Amino acid sequence: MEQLTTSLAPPRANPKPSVTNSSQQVAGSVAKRLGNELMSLMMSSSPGISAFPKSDGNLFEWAGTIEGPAETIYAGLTFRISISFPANYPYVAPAIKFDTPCFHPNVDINSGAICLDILQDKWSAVYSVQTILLSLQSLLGEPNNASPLNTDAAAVWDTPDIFRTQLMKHYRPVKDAA
Amino acid sequence: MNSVKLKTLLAQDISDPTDFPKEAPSLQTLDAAVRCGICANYFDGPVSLLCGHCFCSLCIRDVISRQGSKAVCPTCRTNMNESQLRPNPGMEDVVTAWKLARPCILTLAKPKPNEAASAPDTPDRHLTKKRKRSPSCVPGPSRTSSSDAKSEVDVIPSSDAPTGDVPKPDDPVACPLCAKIVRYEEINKHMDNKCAPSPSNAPPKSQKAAWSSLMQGPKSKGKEKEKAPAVDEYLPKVSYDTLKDKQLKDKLAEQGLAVTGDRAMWTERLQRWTMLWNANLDKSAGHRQSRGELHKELKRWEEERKNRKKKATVDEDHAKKQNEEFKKLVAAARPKKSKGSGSAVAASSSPPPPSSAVQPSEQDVIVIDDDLEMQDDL
Repeated sequence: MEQLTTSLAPPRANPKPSVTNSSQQVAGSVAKRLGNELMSLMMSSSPGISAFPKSDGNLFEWAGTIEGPAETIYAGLTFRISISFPANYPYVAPAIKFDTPCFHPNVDINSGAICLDILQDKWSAVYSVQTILLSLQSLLGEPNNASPLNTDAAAVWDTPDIFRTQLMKHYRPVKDAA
Repeated sequence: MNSVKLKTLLAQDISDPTDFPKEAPSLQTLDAAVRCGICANYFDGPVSLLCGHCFCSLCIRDVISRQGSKAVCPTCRTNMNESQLRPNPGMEDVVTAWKLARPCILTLAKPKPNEAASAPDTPDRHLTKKRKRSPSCVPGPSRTSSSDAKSEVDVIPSSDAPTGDVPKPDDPVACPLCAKIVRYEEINKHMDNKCAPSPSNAPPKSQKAAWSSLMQGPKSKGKEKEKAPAVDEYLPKVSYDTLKDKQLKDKLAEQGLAVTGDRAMWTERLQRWTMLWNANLDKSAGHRQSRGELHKELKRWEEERKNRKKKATVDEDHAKKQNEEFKKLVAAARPKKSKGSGSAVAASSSPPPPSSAVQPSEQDVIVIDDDLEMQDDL
């Protein structure tokens, strides 16, 4: 029980050296689940989606890519997204945003923030990176124009020519699309 | 150097359905079906909800504690509450059996070594490399021998043989009366003995080890039952807010828990302990942990929380320290911004930001940490 006492002591004055160490130990079970998801994602070849930890030491920050689904206005485009997992994942949804500017009714063109119910109040612990990426992919082709984050995009959704022009104006190709 | 870290992270005994080859999708499905959708591990103390969906007891109790009265099934969103949880011993048995059988089936499902070596396609090489990490076929008693590779060659054809074939004396066959797997040469004796286990049950020959251990499963469960903790009653849900400090302390002492920390800490500790305790009772007697083990589990949980909090403060400290640096960089980047946006972005992201790679300003960092803290408190 002595250890518990120390656990409540105020943080050390200079705790810096332990940063990498503690970030790995933050939650063994979370790291395990993330490792598990990474394996599943790598081994099951889902077309058009991929994700991988950004740096080798940290399993809690991932970068992913989503290809625009065929036969939608986003066909042929690849979008990079970043995924940040909270320490109490999967009970709490990961924070996700588009890094590639994405002209879409439910995506903020500047911040990349995404308005998708399953990433907010409809999050469920059984969702995974794979289900999120697939949901985002289908969101590209089927936006929810009822609650737009980008009203301009929602307004021109029904006129594909204008929409495509706007889309391409903002779009920046992903450099390393591998 | 760094890549080693990720590898070690991944190598720590993480098994997943894709351990099985793509050529056996049914085995992948089977492996996925006995895993909890929340933790992605094999069901530990599986419980079913009214809607029929199944989760580890601790996992679903965690969900309920976060969602409170608005709790819904993570799979189908049907309303649910703690009183609906029913242990699912059937699933528990399946998991126990599958864990035991898995290494053997992995060995059997694996492409033969020489095939894998000669196969030219690279994706497969990755597969085999991954599977090497998984333990070889060592279920329970270590009956496996070096002749494993040979046994695969022998066993697989016999199981696939056309039905008309007469089994060899050594082949395993299911007893038509009790469905027990018996060697073909002993099947008559077995049935004459009214399906009693044959007394002269010599350990199976090594080449049959994989199959027989697979078919026989664990022995004699009954005797382990005495291990269960003496008191096996569920702890009731308490509304901690109505309790006085003294009462809370008494409750902690009652359960043998530490009374360190502040009131919030006591409450969380009691809540977690209640969760661990009740989840443990959802397991069948043979699978339960002792009180001491549960205490260790609680300690681990507190350690994790501590680290989480520490991490948050570290990031804040770091942000403060680096604030000057950030300001300089921002200032340096500003003039360029008017010329072209591209170069400004490159300049502001060039400093060597540590663990928090993306945050360009102090504010961002703090916002993220606040989130973390808040989620902790939920």
